[in-house]
Amino acid sequence: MKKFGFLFILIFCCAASVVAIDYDNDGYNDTFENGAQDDYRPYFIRHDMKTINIYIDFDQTVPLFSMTLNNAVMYPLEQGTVDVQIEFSQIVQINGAISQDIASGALQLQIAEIPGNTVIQAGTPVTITDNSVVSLPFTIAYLTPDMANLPLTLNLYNTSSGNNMHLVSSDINVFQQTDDRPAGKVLSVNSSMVIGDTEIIQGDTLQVQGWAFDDNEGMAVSLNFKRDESDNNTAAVVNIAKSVDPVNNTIPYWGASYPSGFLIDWAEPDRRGNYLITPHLNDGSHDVALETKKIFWNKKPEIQLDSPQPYTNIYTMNYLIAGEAVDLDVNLGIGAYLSSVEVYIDDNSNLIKLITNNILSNENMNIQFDWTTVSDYAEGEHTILAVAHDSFGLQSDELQIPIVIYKTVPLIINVSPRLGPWEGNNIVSITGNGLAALSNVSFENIPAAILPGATDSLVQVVVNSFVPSESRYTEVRLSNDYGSYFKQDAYRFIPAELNALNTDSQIADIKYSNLEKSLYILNIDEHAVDVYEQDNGNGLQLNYTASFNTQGTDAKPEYKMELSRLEDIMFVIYEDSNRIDIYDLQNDGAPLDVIYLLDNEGTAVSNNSFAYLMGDEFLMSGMLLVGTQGENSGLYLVYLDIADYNHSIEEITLPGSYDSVNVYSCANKSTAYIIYKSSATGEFTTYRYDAKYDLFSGPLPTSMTLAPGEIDELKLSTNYNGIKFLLYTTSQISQFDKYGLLLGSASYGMDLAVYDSCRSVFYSLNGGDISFHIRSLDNLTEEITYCDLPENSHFALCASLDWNGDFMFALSAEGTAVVKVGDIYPQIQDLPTFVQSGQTVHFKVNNIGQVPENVVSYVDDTEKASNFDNDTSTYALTSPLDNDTAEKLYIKLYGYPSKQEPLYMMSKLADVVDNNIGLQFFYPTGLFYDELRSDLYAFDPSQTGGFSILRFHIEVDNNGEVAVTRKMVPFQMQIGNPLSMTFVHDYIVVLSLYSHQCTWFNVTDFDANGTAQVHTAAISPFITPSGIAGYSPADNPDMNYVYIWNSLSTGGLDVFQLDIDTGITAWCGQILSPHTTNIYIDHNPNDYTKDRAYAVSSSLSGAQNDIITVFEPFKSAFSISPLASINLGSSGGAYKIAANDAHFFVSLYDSKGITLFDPDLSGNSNHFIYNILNNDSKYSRFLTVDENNLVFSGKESDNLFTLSFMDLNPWNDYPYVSPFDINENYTVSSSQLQDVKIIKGKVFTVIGHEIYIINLINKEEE
Amino acid sequence: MKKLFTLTIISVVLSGSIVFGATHQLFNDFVITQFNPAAGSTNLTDLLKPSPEIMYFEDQNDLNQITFVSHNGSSVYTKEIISGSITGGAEDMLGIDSQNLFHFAGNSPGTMIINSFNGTSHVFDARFSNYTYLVCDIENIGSNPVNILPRVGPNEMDSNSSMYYAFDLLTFTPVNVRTLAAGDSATLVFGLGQDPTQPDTVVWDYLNGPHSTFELLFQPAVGTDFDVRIDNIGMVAVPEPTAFLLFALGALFFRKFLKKTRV
Repeated sequence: MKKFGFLFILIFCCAASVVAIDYDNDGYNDTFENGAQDDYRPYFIRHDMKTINIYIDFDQTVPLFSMTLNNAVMYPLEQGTVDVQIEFSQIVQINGAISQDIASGALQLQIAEIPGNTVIQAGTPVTITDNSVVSLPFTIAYLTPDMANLPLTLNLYNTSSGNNMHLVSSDINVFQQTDDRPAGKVLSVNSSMVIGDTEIIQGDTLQVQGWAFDDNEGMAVSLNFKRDESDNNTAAVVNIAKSVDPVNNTIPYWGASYPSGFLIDWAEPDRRGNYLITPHLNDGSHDVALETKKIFWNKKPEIQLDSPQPYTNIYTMNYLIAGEAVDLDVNLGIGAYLSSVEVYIDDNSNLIKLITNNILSNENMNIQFDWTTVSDYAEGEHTILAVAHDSFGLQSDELQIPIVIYKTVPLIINVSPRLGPWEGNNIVSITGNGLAALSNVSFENIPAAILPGATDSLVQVVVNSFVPSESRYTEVRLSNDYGSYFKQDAYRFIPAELNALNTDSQIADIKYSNLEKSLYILNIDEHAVDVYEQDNGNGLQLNYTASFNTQGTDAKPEYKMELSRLEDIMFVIYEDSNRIDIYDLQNDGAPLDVIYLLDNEGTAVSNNSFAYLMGDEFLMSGMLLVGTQGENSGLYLVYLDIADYNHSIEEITLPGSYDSVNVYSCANKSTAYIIYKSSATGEFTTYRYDAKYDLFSGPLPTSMTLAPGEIDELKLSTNYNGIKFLLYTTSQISQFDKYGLLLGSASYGMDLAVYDSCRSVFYSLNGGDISFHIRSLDNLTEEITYCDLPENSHFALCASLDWNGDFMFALSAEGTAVVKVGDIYPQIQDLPTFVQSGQTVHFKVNNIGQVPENVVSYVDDTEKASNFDNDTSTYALTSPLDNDTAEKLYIKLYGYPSKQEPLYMMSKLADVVDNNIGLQFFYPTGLFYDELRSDLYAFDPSQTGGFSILRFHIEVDNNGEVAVTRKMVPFQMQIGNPLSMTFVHDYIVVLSLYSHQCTWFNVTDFDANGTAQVHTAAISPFITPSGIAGYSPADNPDMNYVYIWNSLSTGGLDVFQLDIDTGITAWCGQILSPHTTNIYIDHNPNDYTKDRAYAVSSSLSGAQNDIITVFEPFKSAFSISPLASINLGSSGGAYKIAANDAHFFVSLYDSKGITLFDPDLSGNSNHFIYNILNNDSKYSRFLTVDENNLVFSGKESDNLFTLSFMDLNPWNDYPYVSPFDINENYTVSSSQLQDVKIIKGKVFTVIGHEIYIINLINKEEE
Repeated sequence: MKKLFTLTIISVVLSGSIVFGATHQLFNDFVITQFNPAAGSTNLTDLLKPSPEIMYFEDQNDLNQITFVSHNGSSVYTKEIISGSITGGAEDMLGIDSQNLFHFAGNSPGTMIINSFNGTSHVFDARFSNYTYLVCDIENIGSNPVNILPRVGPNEMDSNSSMYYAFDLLTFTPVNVRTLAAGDSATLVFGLGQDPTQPDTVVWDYLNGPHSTFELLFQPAVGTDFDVRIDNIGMVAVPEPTAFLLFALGALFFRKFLKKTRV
């Protein structure tokens, strides 16, 4: 819209200013044609038909300072005057008659109000007298936005004539289309200062303020810039704000909607430095450049910290603060540069560091300093603040970095694993607090490498090797800036070495020989067995000694090997083969024999697994139990006859149809378990084979829910004697007792589970893993810890443990690892096996490190409080057995269990019996047990006259509790110096050495009626009777013989027969048993004619061997002749004889031992004699046996008396050496130890003047 | 009895103050345990020993008159008559001057039995004797306290018709067991009764064999060994209170006196 309908109007702008400035940049100074100049007011170009000059004198306009646009109406409006010069001639010309009518002074001119439009409010009429200029006042009332034109209407009055002239623009009828140049002025830029001719702009936005107006509402205000004069102008992208007020006091409104002021916002964050800026006004046809300003656009510097990062946890007293400040508008010419950086914490009052810029010309300023006062601030959340300043006072945005200061002293909660090989290089995780910024982690002063990624609660380290290579607990010490913490015994180095053997060979199996201390490696590639000997040092190195070739000729890969009980014979089977090779390990592995297994139809089977088992304890050849696989899979028992190559093979009938039979044996070769598997159905059945009794038990109620295909992974592992076993796959494990009853299960799996032979733990290993796990057998879900294999080697599925549980041999991809696992466990020492009621037990524990208080004692699997005495380094446990008669004590240290040690309760009979009056002065030496009536007799040969024999009735209930009731003995029986007792049917017989008499009474009658029926038979004063044995054939109650022996006999007066029915003592003249010391009568319950008596003839001074003379006790004295004379081969005072269902046992006093014999009474005299104990220091005396135990009292060479306990069941123990080792010795310190009897599973013995009751532990039931 | 008791206290006090801490006990409160008296007859024979001696151990042949019952086949005993004496007790009561005594030691309990067989051994006859108290001196020279289990009575060791027995045979209660601490000595005094015709007296049975027995069973109360000395077994008439007083004082005076005079 460029229509300004101002007709014939020339406006002269008058101003006071006289400075010639071209504000509007039109190339002319703003000088009006009338010579007036006005700095502010542009002029409008005069129309060349200028007949009326209207001069708006703003100076005379009452300024209205406040103009408000209100509903598009501007008010209050301005007042002004218009100077109008009337050309009279023109008036005439318009209306020639009028001028004549004008009286002098009658002509008046007035700006007329436009009817209906109050824009112009007329002023007072002015008298026109000539062509002079008159001033007409008017008021612009308001302005509507749609008003494009503002017509002026002038009324010209001729007051004299009354003819008013009405001058309206339309009347002029000529419209001048005027397009004026925009006019404007730059008032200011938002500079903070002016240096020279340069305005300094701070910040991101350049603001130019000015005013402008134009007759075109569409006039655009723009901004051009250039870097310097030589640069080309570029249009800036700006925001224009109109209608700003700074200038409106002097700038009149113009235009309908166009404010007069402007504000140019040039927001350019990236613009900086020197610019020339020029605002432009452009109405479409004119581009008016306003004043050019020279600016220096100064931007705020920037700052960035690389350290700390937001939410960094700061654990150290010193913390590196690092980063960079940048100011890109460095211009030293005008003094613009990066000035400084300030770093605060929390608020600006806590200055950490002020860094000034030393090289002003650098745009970048490196920030790097140690914040050394971290510890001055409280633990918790803080904020690091950082700002950069430039020389013009601009500062960067404040950098706020939240941090957390930790001042926690480190604390160890757990170290996992708690142990590792002494070579180190394994990763250990430590949990606790304050672990994120440890300055040092050391294991007994040897630093460990801290792995990155530590958090406050977890740090991982790589353990160094421990030097010297000791097996020991170490402290783990952690340090950070705020302190250090150490946990004693937090980690344990255990001996372990990797033997880089056979790494390039395929190994099928490994087996450890306990006796040879050698490891056999079944080498498939070389078709050989490689023998490696354990070194004599710490046993960790394996030294190659020999190889021998396996003999498989059908090129089948070797599969498994097995050792005989004495580890002198090796058996090898092959994959997919029915061949079993037998090698003589005593002869460099020379092949001994080959067995081919055929099924009942004569078809070769495919061996799957096998086990060597022993059927008895006397070193017979043993047997192999072999499982096969495939369609005709089966189970075979091979009874070995190594000597004659005359093996017999028996195929065992399977309980169903299976495609795989798997055999697993226990370490002591007593028991095997068999799993019958059917891959087709996924079902399996478990059986147990007891080699001692040649007995299969099953199917055992072992149930496991197996996933499809899981049956192929199912394996079994047994404890050392087969009373417990594990069934496991790679995803689950269950433990059962020998009856198949579930003991526990857990939902993890493994490739191999190996029982520790003596502790309640097992080891689980997975192929490819670098560690093995130690888990509790008491609670399968409990993992005690794990341990890395040496040199982080990777397990390769084969492992073997030695019998003592000391060494683990694990085949790995890198070689054979030997880990001395036995060093892991604490060891109980000096524990008295025998505990008296209420006694405090003292013991030591070895291998426990520095914190004895961490030892936890268990009795009966229940934790018991024990006290540690620093002075003696012993633990004290009060009344460990409470009311139990026998238990196992073990300790745990950090979860590692020790071996279980037996505790036998020793009760004094005097404390148990219902009436113990007088017992304190009763010194019995002998015990006699009347098993028919469960009566125990004790006799004291030093007593005389009425108190030499006591009688106790013994009852043992199902819980093993012993009840003892004192019973009467007839006074007549209380003979002096009783030396031996026996019973014959209802008669109790006593031998008195002093009085040379046998005295007896009818105990049944006495108990029933009080009638003692005491009888006495004198014994010849010429013999020295030392003992009697009654003969009571069960099927012949009328036969009442007592055999009396004469220990001092030398010339045939050895054994006498007393018939208590007649009282006659007769000499058994044909029994040649000089120096008889004992007679044992073996009863046949059904046929007394098969009863046999065994008289022990003791060697006198080694003159001849000890002899057992066998005779028929039912015969009359004179007709008795020896059936056999068993030469024990010993020459040392055979003393007492005892027997159980299996064997006879004789104690040897002088030669200090015990001999076992099994008589051959067939006439061949092929007696089996076996010296089961040969102890150079123990004079064996009284002995007693039951089916599983032998207990004997002996005197040591140092005259201390001992009670020795032997487990007769060899399958409970070590399979490789004598099955008759003494398990326990009870040494009597200041008393003599006399007779001993096993009665109803309890041991009764005489120590000093006390009769003790000691429990027996049935090991097999453990 | 009250008086005796008092004297005992005195003697304990006095002797305890003199003999290097060792104590001389007076055991004169033995309880008669006889419950099975056997009818007796008189069959007095000549005495081999002059009354009141039973055995003073001045003669090496005395050993042959003693029977020993061992505790077990492994028992080892020392049985010897050696010089020395236990003074101040029975010796004074008997009014003798002992030069030798019997040393009895063993590694387990041991019993010594002195039988009075007719004509072959020492006879002591309570009933017809003027002497109504059997006394003897014992000294424990071992390191263990020793229990002394005495038996005085007729018949042999198998008989339960003792006059004095270590135990009450009806209740098994040890009534006559005395313990002698290591280093201590004691005088045993057994009252033997007055006259069988009078009430409340003990019957001495000779019917089944005219012999009487005095037995001493020594049991180590602690440990395994005992080591004792025995001396001055004899019989006295009513032990005068003065005798006991004398004994008590004798510990004070006679010991030094005898030492001087005998050396």
